[in-house]
Amino acid sequence: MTETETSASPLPPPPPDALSDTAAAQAVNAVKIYGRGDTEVHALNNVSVSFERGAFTAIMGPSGSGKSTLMQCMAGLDRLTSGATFIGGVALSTLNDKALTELRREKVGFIFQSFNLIPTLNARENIRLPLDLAGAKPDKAWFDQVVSATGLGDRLDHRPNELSGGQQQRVAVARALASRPAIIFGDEPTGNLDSHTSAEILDFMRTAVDELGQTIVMVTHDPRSASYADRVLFLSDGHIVDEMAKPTADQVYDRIRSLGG
Amino acid sequence: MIKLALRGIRASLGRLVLMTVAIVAGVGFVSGAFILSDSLSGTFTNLIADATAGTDAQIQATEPEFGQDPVSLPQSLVDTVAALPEVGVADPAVGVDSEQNFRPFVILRDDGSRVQPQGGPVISFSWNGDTGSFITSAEGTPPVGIDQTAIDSGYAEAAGVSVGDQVRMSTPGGERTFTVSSIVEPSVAAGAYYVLFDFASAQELFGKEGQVDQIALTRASGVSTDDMITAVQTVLPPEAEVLNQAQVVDEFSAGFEQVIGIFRNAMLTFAGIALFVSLFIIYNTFAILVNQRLQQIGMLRAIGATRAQVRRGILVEAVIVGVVGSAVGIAFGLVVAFGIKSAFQATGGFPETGTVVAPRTIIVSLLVGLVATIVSALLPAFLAGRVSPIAAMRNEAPSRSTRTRRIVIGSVVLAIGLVLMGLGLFGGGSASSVLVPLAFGAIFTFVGVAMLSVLFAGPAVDLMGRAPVLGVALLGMGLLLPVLTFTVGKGLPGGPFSGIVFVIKMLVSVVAVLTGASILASLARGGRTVGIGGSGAGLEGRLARQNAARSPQRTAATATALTIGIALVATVGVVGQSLKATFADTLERAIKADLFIYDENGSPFSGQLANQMEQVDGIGVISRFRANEVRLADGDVTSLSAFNADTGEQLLTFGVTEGSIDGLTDNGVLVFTDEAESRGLAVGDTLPVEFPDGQTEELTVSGIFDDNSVLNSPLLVDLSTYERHIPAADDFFVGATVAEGADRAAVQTEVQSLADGFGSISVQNTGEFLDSQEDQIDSLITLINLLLAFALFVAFLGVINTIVLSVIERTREIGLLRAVGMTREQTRATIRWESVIVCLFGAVLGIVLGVLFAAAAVVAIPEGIIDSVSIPWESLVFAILFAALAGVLAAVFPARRAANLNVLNAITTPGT
Ligand SMILES: Nc1ncnc2c1ncn2[C@@H]1O[C@H](COP(=O)(O)OP(=O)(O)O)[C@@H](O)[C@H]1O
Ligand SMILES: [Mg+2]
Repeated sequence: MTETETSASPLPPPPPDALSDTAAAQAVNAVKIYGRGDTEVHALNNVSVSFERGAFTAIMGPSGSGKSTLMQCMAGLDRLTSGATFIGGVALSTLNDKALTELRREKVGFIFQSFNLIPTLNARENIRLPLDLAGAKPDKAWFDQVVSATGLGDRLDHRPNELSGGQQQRVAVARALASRPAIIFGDEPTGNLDSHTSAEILDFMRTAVDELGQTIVMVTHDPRSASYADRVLFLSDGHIVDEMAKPTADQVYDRIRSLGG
Repeated sequence: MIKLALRGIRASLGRLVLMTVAIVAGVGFVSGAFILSDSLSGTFTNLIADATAGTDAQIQATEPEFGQDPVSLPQSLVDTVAALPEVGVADPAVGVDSEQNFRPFVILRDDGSRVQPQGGPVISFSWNGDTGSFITSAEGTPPVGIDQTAIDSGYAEAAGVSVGDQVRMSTPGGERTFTVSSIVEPSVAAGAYYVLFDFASAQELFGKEGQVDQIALTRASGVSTDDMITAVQTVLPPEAEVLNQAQVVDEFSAGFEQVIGIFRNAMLTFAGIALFVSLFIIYNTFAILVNQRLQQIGMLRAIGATRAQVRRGILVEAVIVGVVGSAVGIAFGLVVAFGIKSAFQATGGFPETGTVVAPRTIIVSLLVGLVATIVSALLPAFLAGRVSPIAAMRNEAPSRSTRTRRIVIGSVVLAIGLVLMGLGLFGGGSASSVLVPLAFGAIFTFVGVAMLSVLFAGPAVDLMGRAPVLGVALLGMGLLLPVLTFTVGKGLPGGPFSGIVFVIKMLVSVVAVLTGASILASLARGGRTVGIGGSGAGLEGRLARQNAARSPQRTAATATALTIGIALVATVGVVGQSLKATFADTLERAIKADLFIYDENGSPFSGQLANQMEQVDGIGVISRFRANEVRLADGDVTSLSAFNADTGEQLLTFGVTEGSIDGLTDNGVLVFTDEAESRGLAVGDTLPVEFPDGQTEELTVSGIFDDNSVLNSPLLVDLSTYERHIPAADDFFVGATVAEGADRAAVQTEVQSLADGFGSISVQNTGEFLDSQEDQIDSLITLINLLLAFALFVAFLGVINTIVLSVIERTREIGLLRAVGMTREQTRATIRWESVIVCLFGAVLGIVLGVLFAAAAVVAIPEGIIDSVSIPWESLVFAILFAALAGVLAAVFPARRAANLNVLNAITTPGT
């Protein structure tokens, strides 16, 4: 079940059965307001959205439309002004900092645009980071699978500053995959890369969804990147204004132009 | 550039504040030393000026030689001078003080004990009854006649007497009773007590009939002081001199200045050490600031700023920080001076003083603070100038000296330091020819070590930070500390101070054991964060270790600050321990007496005690020990000890190598082997000795001895020889044996109860005597350690500073870690761990250096004083653990800051 809420008027929260049990993560009537009074910014304006398990979703929209805010709130990095977000059926607003932190390291993976890796740890250690933080024993088979999927091979003992930008992002994707999270969020994960390297990373993410069954949500500016996804959501002024299934780059490009982004 | 410097200061205010604190502490101790000593000497000078106000000049005997009593002047001089037309009034006075003449006038209580409050001297002199100058006010009437006395209010209070009471006093002519006719307030108290008589009675009581010590002169009207002095000089005998009032004040305060100067220099030394430590912290802060502003600097360079401009910008920042830090430091110096003054006043014997902030204090403190800051900022400023625009864009640090260059420069600096220290230690000569090269040697050595330690700081902290290493080390040392305390250490504490130290030691030990155990337990369980202090053995430890190892320069500079303090503590500890060990060895060999009787203040006490002891059942043999200065034929003044030659050898070992002790009773003298060698004396030779009474006696060398550890006198004579010239019947020290079969404890108790009647006399058995001698060394070590605590405190600030900076620098990284699931506790544990290993590195390096310094010092110190190195294991283990604990404490604030970072803000912080 997919909700596409475009109304700006506040709705009463949906009854609990409105929660999808096939969703990896869900936002219900999400509102995020930055600042106060004159400087008030409505970054999210009553957004309800659900991300299905095993799907690769892209989020697009003009700069300042609230894409990053949506991801951050859904990932438990920030709290909503009102509304609710869920990961695996758990309401994030009910969690204290410790529980939220633990949820992040067990259920959520992250890929940032840059500065994804701890400079003092080598690639392998960076991939294991969430596991080590949890003190968990890695699932050897899964770990090996993830590591080999990065294609880094003999570069695993290198520190981030000895890796290329593309290699660093591949390590970041592997790190996000390592704990087998319920969902992975990427905020412009290929935004800093050239088109060739970018394609490599997106292929890697696509493989993770198809072969490893992962759920990935990614913010992007680039229609070609969005075409790797199963579904594209379009955000504008804190609203979800449209969506598209099985997009091609050209379709996305046309839609962006029609939305004036 | 100035504008940019100001902006830079505002942007990094928090970082600069901590650095300023380091300057404040160092400058504060410098200015505190000046303020306190200036206040003291100002106070004394004023007091003396007040006390002598009203007289224009003073006649006194010229400076006496070699510790003899001042020569008195003939009373006829008073009339001669008074007869001069230029002289208005000539007022004679006599005086005597207890230091020079064995406390002749001391009030006795009903039980015969002496009223000797806090060990201050009791001074007696004549008083003409005037008030207003030396005696500011008086209650009652001035004493008249041999049965009346005036005492000062402090002494009256201590003795519990008031005007009109009868008091019994010991006097050189035996005990006498006086009526207290007056209780007076002297303008100069300074911890002394006063007993006053009228002039004629004083002459009689002091045995100075027909003599005067001082003649206060007032000029006749219309005559200038200079003219009067010129006139007086024509009639003065050669042993007398006349001084005007200013000269009197100067002479008097010169004596105080000397004491105050020693005190000031001691304080300045420790202030200097603290300041030296703060140099490393200031350097470190600027180096890190430059690193953090690489992009800004690069951008400035790209748009056309010259290297010199960039450098100047950093230096302007240093100047501002230096001025602010020094100004606050001077204010802090007031607090330091006030604190020390209050501490001394609470223990008594310290006059009320005003507060003198001389211009010199302000100028020197400002200069010291400013120069320290600029010197420390020079290298970072130079490096900032070398930042190339491109490198800054790529966020690369400017290339520092290469490894080889660092090794070469560091080794050269270290070598200079070692050579200088060697010169100081082994060159010999005057105190300044030892101390100056030693001090500069130490400075060079520490800088050299700091430079070289960069080479191994990385691997070293990486090793020390490994969970198994750290766990085993903390657990092991934590367990070892109480074991050492109860075996080689002092065990359970005696006094309140040692009680506090004991509790701290045990606490440190418990914390170390628990932390070590929890690290090991958490390792065994696969590295989850558990246990006390959340010392995660897994990832947190690894991150911490790698952070510390990541910038060895910073780690080395931070650790060096700590290294300096701990190295000095260790040096003092090892030298002290070696001194104690040697001392205990030689004393144990030298003493045979069972009981040791001496005054706790080191003053001589009545010979009556030894007489009474002879009546005690169970006493074996007794010897009295006395000492004074004598002059040899070549003019050298040396100390001479006397004892009962017939019993002395049963109480002490003298190690007579040639001749024998038997000849002493026959006008003989035992000569210490070194003295005999340097004077070419052999058994049978004659040695003329001039005693303080001015008579010279031809003594026969009856033997050579080589164990001088107790009496510490090169010449030993029999008591009979001594008493012929120095009849005062007071002993310095009495030794006794307990007869075979007698109850030692009972005998000791009985002697102690006898001694209680003679004032603050302690009666100790062998063990107690040895302990009390070692306690004196321990007190000295404790005092030095307390002063070094300044430096350690500054180093502690340095650790906080570095850790805070490192947290700020890693804001993004911490944000990322928190985002991917590091809990707040894990974050705190990481920071804490990093701080602990930096501290441990500093402490271990400090202890290694300290032990090496001490070993060199022991080699340099003559064998008679220290013969071998002895390591105070307990203190060293405690120092390491204490440093680790300090690391935990230093991390509290930065760790909280790191844990409470807003994750999103942290991640989006512009990159560094
Ligand atoms: N921390 C913040 N404080 C104030 N306003 C913010 C903050 N973060 C984002 N905003 C504002 O919220 C809106 C949405 O921002 P964001 O989610 O980052 O947009 P996007 O990622 O789509 O570019 C923007 O107008 C932005 O200025
Ligand atoms: Mg964004």
